[in-house]
Amino acid sequence: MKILRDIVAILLIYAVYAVITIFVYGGPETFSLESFHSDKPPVWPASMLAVSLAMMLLWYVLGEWVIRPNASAATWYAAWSAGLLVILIAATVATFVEVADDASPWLHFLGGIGTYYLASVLFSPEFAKYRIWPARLIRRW
Amino acid sequence: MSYFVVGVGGSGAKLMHSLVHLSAAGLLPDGGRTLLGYLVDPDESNGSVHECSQVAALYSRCKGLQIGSKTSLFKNRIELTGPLSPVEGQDVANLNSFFDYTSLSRTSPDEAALMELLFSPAERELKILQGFRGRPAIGATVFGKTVDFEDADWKKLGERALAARTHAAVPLLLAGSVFGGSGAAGVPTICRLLSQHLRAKIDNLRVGLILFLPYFTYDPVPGEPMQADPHQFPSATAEALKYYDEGDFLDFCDEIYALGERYPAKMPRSSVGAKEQRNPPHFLEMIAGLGAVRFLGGTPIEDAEHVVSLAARAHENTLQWADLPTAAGEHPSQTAKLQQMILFAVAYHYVLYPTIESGDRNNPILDHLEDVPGHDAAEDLAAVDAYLVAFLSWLLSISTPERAEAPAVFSPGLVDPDVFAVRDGYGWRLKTRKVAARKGGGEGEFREKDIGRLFRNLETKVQPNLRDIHRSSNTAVQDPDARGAGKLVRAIYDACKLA
Repeated sequence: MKILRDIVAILLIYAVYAVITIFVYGGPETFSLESFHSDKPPVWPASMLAVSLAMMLLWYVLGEWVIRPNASAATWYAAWSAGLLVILIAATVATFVEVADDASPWLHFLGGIGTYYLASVLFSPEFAKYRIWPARLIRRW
Repeated sequence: MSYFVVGVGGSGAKLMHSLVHLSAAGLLPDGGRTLLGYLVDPDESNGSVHECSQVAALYSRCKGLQIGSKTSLFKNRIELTGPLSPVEGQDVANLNSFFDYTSLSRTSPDEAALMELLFSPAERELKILQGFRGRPAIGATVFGKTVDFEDADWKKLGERALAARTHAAVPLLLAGSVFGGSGAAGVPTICRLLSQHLRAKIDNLRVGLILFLPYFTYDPVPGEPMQADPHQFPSATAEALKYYDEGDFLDFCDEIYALGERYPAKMPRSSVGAKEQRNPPHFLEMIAGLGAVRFLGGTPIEDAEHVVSLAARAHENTLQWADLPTAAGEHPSQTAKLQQMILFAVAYHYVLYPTIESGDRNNPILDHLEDVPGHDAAEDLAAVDAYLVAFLSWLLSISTPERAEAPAVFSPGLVDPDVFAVRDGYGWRLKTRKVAARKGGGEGEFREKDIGRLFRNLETKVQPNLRDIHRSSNTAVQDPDARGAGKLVRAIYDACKLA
C-alpha cells in the first residue's frame, strides 16, 4: 500500500513537471498527437521528462527490492548519483541537439534534475528515505 | 504472584538456564508472574551455576527496558537467588569437620561408629565444597542436617509462596539429576522437607519434580582419586528411581518429569567441580524446560487422577520442531514463539545491531529512538545484544551435542547451525559479525543470504526473509508502553514473527 502511495505521489510530481513543460513550450497544442508528426516534434522535452521519471522509478525499484536495506551510505549515494548522471547527460544532449525555435535548455536541467531531486527527497524508497538532504528534516511519512 | 523453581546441583542450574531462555521467548504461561529461581549447590563456584546467574542477570537487564506490554518478549520477571550452599566456610570442608568427628568419637562413640560404618575414611575426608563427587549419600546427610527454612533465603521463599496462595495455585518445581552428587542428594531431601514445610500452610501448593537421568558422560579427571564415575550413572539411576518409588514421591508430588538420553553427550572438559564444571547446554535441558513450562502452567489433567505423559522424538539422531513436547493445544503457539526468538536473535545480532551500532543517522530504524538520549540507548541495545549472544550460544550448544557412542552423529533438526556458527576444533563457535568501521571494521563470517535457511523441518512453509524483517522493523510500534531502546528492540522482535 505504501509503495503504491509513493509511486502515485512520484507520478503526480512528474505530472507537475509535465504541465510546466507544456506551458513553457507554448501550450497543450505543442504536445498534440499531430505535433509529433510535424517537422519539429517536441521530442526533447518529452524525452527529458521520460528519462528523469525512468531514473526516479529505477531508484525506487533498486532501493525497495534490489539494494540491501543495510547497505552502506556510499552504496546508496552511488546508486542515486548514477541516476542523476544519466539525467545530466540526457539534458546536455538535449540542449545541444534540440533545434526548435522555442527551445528551453534551462528546463531540461532544472526540470529533469530538479524533479528527480524533489521526488527523491519526498518519496525515496523506505530504506533510503533519509538519504537525500533534507529528507531527514521534512519526511514524516 | 510467582512461580517457584529450585534447581539443585549443576543439572538444576542448567534447567534454570533453559527456563531463562524460554522465558525470554515468552513461553512461561502468565506474564504477570515472577519466576523465582533458587539455585542450591555446595559448590558455590560451580561453572554451570555461575553461567546461569550470568544469563539471568543479562535477562533482567533486558527486562528493564520498556519493550511494551503487548508482547511475549522478556515477558516474566526473573529473580534468581543463590547458590544456596548447605555448607559454609572452610571449617566444614569435609564430613569429619562437618559432624565434628573428633569430638563425636569421644562424646558419642555409637554415632561415630555409625559414621565409620556408612562412610569410608576417604569419603569422610572428601572436600564437599566442590560438590559430592557422585556420592549422594554424603550429600543427603549434609542436606538433611543443614536445610533450615528459618534461614533468610528459604524463609523468603516460604513468605512469597504464602503470599501467592490467595491468587491461584502455587507451583513449586524442583529439578536436579538423579545420577550425580548434589542433585541426587538434594532434590529428594529438599523436595520432601520443603513440601512438608509448605503444605502445612498452603492448601493449593502444587509440587513438581524434574529428574535428569544420565544424558552426558566425560573422561575421568586425571589425579582425582575420588570423582563421579560416568560408568556408574545407570546403576546409580536405577537405585535413585527405586528410592523415589519406594519413598512414594508420587504421593506428594503432583507431577514428575524424568528425562534421559539413550546416547549421552560427551562433555568437552572433565572436572570434579568449581568453575571448570561448565558443561555445554544439551537439548534435553530445553525439553525439561518445556516440561517445567507445562507444569507451571498448571494444565489440568482430564479424566484421570494418575497419568503417565510420554515425550519422545520421531528419530533417534535428530530433534525436530514436531518433537518438542508442550501442553495439549499449545504446540503451534509455543514453537512459533521459539522460532520468533531464534530469528530475532540472529537478525538482531548479525544484521540489525551492527547497522544500528554504526551510528548511521540516516537509517530509518533509528526513528524508534527519537524519545531517548543516544548514549542511554546505546547501552540498552548493547545489553540486548549481550543477552542474545548468550541465547545463540545456548541454541548452538543444544543443536550440536557431541555424542560419545552412537550409531549415527546427531543431526540438528531445529535450526541449521551453519547459518550462525562454524566448527572450531572439537566443537562449534558463533560466527563473527560485521564490525563498524569506527570499531576496527571487518565484514565478519556471517552471510545475510543464509538467513533464509535458518530453520529446518518447519511445520509451515514460511522461511525468514531479511528484507521483510528490515521493512517491518521500520514500522511504528503500536504499543504506548514501548519507549526508547525498548521500542526499537520491540520493533525488530515483532518483525521477526514468521507469518
